[in-house]
Amino acid sequence: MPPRPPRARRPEELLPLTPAVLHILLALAAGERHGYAIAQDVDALAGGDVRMGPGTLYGSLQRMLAAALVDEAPAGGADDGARRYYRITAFGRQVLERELARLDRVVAHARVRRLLPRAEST
Amino acid sequence: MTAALARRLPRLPRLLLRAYPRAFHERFGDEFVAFAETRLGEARPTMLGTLRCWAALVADVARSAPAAHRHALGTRRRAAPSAPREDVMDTLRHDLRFALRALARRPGFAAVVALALALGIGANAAIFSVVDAVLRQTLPWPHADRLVDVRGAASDGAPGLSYPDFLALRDGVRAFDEIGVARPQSVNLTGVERPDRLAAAFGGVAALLALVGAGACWLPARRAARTDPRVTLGAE
Repeated sequence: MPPRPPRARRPEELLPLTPAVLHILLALAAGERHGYAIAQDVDALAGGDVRMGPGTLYGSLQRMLAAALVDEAPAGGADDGARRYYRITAFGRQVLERELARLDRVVAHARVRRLLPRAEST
Repeated sequence: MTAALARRLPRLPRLLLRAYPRAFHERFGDEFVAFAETRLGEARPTMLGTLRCWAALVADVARSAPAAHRHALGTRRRAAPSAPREDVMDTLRHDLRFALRALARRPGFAAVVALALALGIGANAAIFSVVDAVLRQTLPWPHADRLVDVRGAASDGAPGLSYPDFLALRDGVRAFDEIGVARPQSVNLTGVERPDRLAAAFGGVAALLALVGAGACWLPARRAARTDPRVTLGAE
């Protein structure tokens, strides 16, 4: 299925992302995955505190496909032909980078206000 | 009870899927069910563990289904203005075909519908014919819209117009270009092969004929006029 053109041309128009979309983009930034593997990655990122259900996962993927943040990987490129694989698009990567930069500024601001401990210098 | 519940639970993913719009079913239905079944397989092999897993799935559906419906509604609204015109005709054709097939499946109901339509249309056509002939059609004479039927009544209420009143109207009222007078009377037509009873008029018929046009047949006894034109000409 060819990727649809994004309704919002500028990445900033999609910010801030919902936690589900952010975690899905983070999971797909490491490579294409099928739905259940995305959920497993999200569970691992959340440290096991939160488990993403199928409704949240596929509902988010439906909206992300419509916004051209992700697209479906071509068949045959994965090890399991019965499953659909998803991958992040260039536009999705731009949106993810903008969102991470925004969160980084938020965290930096929290550190300045001593709401978070200062990061250890490496 | 727990055994019955355990038998019903495997159907739950398909039931949960019904909470989502059709586009979601078609695109993600199989993946959704496979995901839910995988989660169920990973749950603890106890009734409590299974129920806890299903409770989490139900809560997930309750959170995500409204957003899926909002997305589907927005997609339909965006697609509607650009829908091709042929789609409207296709819809009409489908509706017509569906109606015909539904009527064919229920011939009794179709017969009642056809009878009701026939009676309604027939009654409507009959009433229209009467109204059209009585109220809408003009008289078959030139300047029929300028004709006036003047009637009089005596002091005791008896209908009629006396000859002096007629003369006063003819000579004293300028609103009329011409006035004629006639008195309806039934007459016997004799001297022909088949005698007949005719409706005729006596009086100033010549003036009336001039008023409505020389070619008009004033007497309503048209059957006699067809067989003997002298009936009209000699009626005065």
